[in-house]
Amino acid sequence: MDDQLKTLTTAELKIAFEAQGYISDKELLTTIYLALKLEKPLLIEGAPGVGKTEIAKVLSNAFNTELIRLQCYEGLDENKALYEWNYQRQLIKIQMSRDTISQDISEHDVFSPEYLLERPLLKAIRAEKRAVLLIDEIDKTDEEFEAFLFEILSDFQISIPELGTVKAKHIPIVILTSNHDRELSEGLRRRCVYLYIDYPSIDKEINIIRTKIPEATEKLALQIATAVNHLRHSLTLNKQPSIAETLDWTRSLIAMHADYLDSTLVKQTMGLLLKNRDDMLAFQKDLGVDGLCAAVKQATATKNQACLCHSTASCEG
Amino acid sequence: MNSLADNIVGFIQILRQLGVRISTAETIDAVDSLTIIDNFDQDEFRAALKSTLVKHAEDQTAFNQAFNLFFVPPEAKQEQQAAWDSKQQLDLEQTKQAEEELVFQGRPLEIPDDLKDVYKQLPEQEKQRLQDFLEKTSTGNNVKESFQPVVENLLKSSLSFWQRQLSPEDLAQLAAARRQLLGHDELDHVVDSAAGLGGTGGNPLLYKNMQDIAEHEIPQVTALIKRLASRLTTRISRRFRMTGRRKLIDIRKSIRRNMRYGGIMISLKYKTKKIHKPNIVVVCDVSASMTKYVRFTLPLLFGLSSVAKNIESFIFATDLEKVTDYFRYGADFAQVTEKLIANSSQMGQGTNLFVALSSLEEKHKQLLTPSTLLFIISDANTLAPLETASQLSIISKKVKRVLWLNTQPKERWPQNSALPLFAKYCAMFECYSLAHLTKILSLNLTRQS
Repeated sequence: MDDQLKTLTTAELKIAFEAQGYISDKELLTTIYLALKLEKPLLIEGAPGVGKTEIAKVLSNAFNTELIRLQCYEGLDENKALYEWNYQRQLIKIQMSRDTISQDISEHDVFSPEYLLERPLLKAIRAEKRAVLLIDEIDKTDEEFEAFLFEILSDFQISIPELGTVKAKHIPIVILTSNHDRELSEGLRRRCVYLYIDYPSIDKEINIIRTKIPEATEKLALQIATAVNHLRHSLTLNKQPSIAETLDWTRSLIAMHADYLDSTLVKQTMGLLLKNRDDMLAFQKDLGVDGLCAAVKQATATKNQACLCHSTASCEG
Repeated sequence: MNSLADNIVGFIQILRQLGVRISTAETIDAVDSLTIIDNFDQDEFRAALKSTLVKHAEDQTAFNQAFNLFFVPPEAKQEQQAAWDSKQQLDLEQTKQAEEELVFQGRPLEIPDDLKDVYKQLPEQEKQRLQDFLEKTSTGNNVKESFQPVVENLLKSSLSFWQRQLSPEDLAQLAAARRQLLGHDELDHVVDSAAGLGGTGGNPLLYKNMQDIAEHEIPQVTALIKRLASRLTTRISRRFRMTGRRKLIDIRKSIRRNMRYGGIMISLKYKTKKIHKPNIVVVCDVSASMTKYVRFTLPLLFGLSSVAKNIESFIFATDLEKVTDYFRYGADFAQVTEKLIANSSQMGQGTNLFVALSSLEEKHKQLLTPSTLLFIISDANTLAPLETASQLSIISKKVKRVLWLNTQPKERWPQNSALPLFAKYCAMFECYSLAHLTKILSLNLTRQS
């Protein structure tokens, strides 16, 4: 894999992403390419559901390597992230040595690697092959843990008092994601290559729908992408529909044998896009199912007219 | 600006002038990244600089503006240079004219540069009025040279009045005009143009001064505030302090549990500290000077009350009034506002924060606990500032933290002599737009800075 990284080009990275069904643009690819080449952690920010975590999965598949995930949460500490001693196993060993007169054990016997419980960070450092380390939702942790983390990300080595210093055999590909719930420290940001992923444009979202769900017709994909885009921009929602929710909505519409959007279908399936009582009320009050369908019809008609200018192919709205 | 390295360094200087924090390590990263990518592809070049230099989403617009202005063909650069030169010339002429006009008996008056900039922005009619005043004073009977400081003070007062009338946007423009330039024409014109284009981006409502919010924008503002306020509740549900790296072993439970193994501690039981949720008390100024912000403050009260359970809301002008019951969960904002305005006796009155804080301490002392976060939303224009500061000092010792959201732009803070007194006992934040509120709520407010 190290050789693969050395000779990697942006064109190859693009092909790898396309093969995994991840629709990307030049900015995204160049940023990932730089993080890989400079061997720096990649910090990805953006709203929930725009495909931040997916990048780590795609990289792990593309390089055929292990994805090690550290899911951050409030109160996460080194024990959960780095390593723990297998206390119970150590006790059993001591107990067994007591029962067997001939077996005399020393401290080194119970503080050896076989009694070490590897947690994601140590696992990534000790991996035989360069792994992808995903540190998900880093903004959910405390500042103390963040400070500890960026020390590790600088040196890629860990000191275990009983064993000594463990140095990374291969510097892992580190992906950090954040929903921007909390301001991350400048120290962490400075050490990373930064990528911000926004909600996609209508065209990009159509592309995503068509790639992930090939059964969706061009017309349905266009209408869905337009509707979701309209919801994101015309309403002030507590939780805007993400790409993942767009895909769920598409799948459910296909399951209902829909070829195009109509008000009954939208009404029945709106719960897949809006998952908050206030958002649902705001939708009903400010836009409504008919309002959304009318907006989609109008927007797609404009787009189709533009299509007709370029070709005579059918793309009726 | 011939080599690539010169250009990169120049570009980084521009970004720093625009408020983007870039360290030397990041500069080195940017240069390293350019050795890896195809420099002739503009999109790759842009992405390389962006990903290594810009580490905050909100700085991306400033980056894009500066990039589009700086990395242009030589012909476009020449045009920009010519426009910059003529702008500089115009500014120089205006300054010279102002210096010629602001004279007393033929001698130039000593007026600070920021007030001179205010003078340059005045309407012609007002400029003429000031000139007439200076001329009449200069030629008055028995007016001697020693009279000059008095005239200067009068003029400064008048210009300060006009400065206070300026909107925050105008003030920001003036501050930008006074920005220390880099002394390099090619860089300075990019800084000036990019700053003029605004480096905000995103939802324009976020950056709008809340005194200019229109009626139809209120639902949007309320929804945005509710979304922001939910961040606060996430934040405050965190522990005040770490309980230690490891969880504490619960000895009693561990012994009881391990009796079955003959007392050998095979299965340890742990205990953790209870998570404290601080109580929130919001005290909001609804006096006459704050009425223009009522479209911001009331949705803010409403938003906080909708997402946080343990919150007590108060409004004040000449005295304190509890309004928690108006903001029950699920209530409609329009109805709440209507009811509140109809029933409240505080709306649009004078301001006495001292009385309000005293009432809070006397009548609601049970709310002021070490886990309380006290928010004060006010422009800090109050009667009895000394007494207010002393009352604030008493309260600040009883609560976890006092957070003051000041609706006055930071540029105006030096004009309020009471502010340093208040700032000793609270953390004061500039907060007249949703962007400010977003920034404040992304901080860890429960922690003393």
